[in-house]
Amino acid sequence: MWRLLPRARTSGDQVAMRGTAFSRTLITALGASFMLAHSFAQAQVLPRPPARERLALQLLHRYLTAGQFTPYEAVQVTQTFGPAALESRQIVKYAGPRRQRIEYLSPPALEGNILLIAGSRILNFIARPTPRIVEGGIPDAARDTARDELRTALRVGRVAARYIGTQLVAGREAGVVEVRSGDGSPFKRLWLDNETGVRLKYETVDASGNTLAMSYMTRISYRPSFNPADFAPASLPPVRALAPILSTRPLRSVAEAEQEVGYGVRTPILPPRYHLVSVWVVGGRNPRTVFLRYSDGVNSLILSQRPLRDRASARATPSQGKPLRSFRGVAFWSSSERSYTLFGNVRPALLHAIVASLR
Amino acid sequence: MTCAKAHRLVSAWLDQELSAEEMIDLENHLDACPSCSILASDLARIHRAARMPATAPIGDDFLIGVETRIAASRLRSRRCRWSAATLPRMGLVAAGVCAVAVLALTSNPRQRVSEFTEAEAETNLRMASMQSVGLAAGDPLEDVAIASLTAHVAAAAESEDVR
Repeated sequence: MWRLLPRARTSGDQVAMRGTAFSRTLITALGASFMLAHSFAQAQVLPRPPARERLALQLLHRYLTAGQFTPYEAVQVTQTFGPAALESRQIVKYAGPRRQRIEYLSPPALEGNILLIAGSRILNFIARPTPRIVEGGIPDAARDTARDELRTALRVGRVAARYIGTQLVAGREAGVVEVRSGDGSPFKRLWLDNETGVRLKYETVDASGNTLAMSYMTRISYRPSFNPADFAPASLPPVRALAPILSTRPLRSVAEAEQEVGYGVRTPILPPRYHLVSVWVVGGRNPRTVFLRYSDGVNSLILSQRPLRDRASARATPSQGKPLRSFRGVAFWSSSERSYTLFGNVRPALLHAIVASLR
Repeated sequence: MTCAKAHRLVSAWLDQELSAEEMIDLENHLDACPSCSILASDLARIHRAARMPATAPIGDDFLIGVETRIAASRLRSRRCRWSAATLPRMGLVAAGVCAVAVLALTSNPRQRVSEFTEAEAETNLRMASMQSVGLAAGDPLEDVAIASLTAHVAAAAESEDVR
């Protein structure tokens, strides 16, 4: 800087000016260092998410937006492990949210079955032994609620997402993301198509690293050959349809459900990370069934309860009810006056604690 | 229900994609609201027209198919005549079976209660299974195929198929 100063001066002047310029340079350098240190300190206070987490969040965002609206046709394998291990192969036709058709190719017990999601209806055509259709309902706005819940949980850090790497699934490059809620609870691993955001593979893994269930595509086409009629309920074979399971819109609280059904609803004691997400009353006739859905941000537990109808007779000949039977992902039991079903992957100790807390 | 919501649901209603509650709500609204009712009937007309098959000339293949089906139905009607002859006998057997079942049920009330509670538990399980699949269909962190397989395992276990 001082070299730029005018030369037509005396040597004494030059010395003085050099001294001034040096001070200025020093002050500027000190100022710059202070600003750098300050910005570094700021970065320490508000750290950016690590790169792996950022990648995971980007992929999850793509999955929750574009991935949900990309039509495809795929061949998929689904497996559950454990005592009641089962594997099935299906053709999946996906035309967007709430428009999906799953046609079972195997095992023999499921071959020919069709699961059709059409708007708010979910129809299960069961081919054997007697062809019939069982119908249920998708709770109103459940998809948006669950998606928003996940977004919020990721934002506030209740749920952690981590990018693991990439892998080929069904010939497509997929980013692998792990989504966890807390120590000791099962977590999910998702393989998401890097380009489209479509989920190509899915795993539920317990804390010890054992896979509890998985589904993965072996072939996928983003130029599907299906037509809109495939997603119409009328496309199912014309067989006897069991009375649809009617459900109310989500209720705000257990107390509201009690008013609706006219009996006391029992609530289980759960670890603090689980919170009650929604309450439904299902069934057209008395007694109606109450569903309580709990979530820890990643894992859902669905508890249903329904009083046994013939309570007077049950008292006359006291029954111990049905003992607890549980498989991976489902448990059911009944007391002398109420029948329960629990869906969700829980450790045996927690399951027994839930059963005990409902006695 | 508001008119805006009714407009959103009419198309799904025509495609039979509404749940029973939504259908009842919408139909109640259509009964009460003339403008929505007009819109629904217009859309229904378009819907019907869109689904009407295009007219096409009848070919030989079609006629051969019809003849084959007529021949098959004749065969079936012959079987039906045989059925008509055996029907009274089968009716007697069925009546006997029913009588035995009624006697068995009325003679052992403990068993009746037990069967009744089992039926109730099965109903609960069926509802829970469908609801679980429905919720999985709406949850980005769940998998509908796994939920469906789990529901099948539960149903099979209930009927003692899985051990």
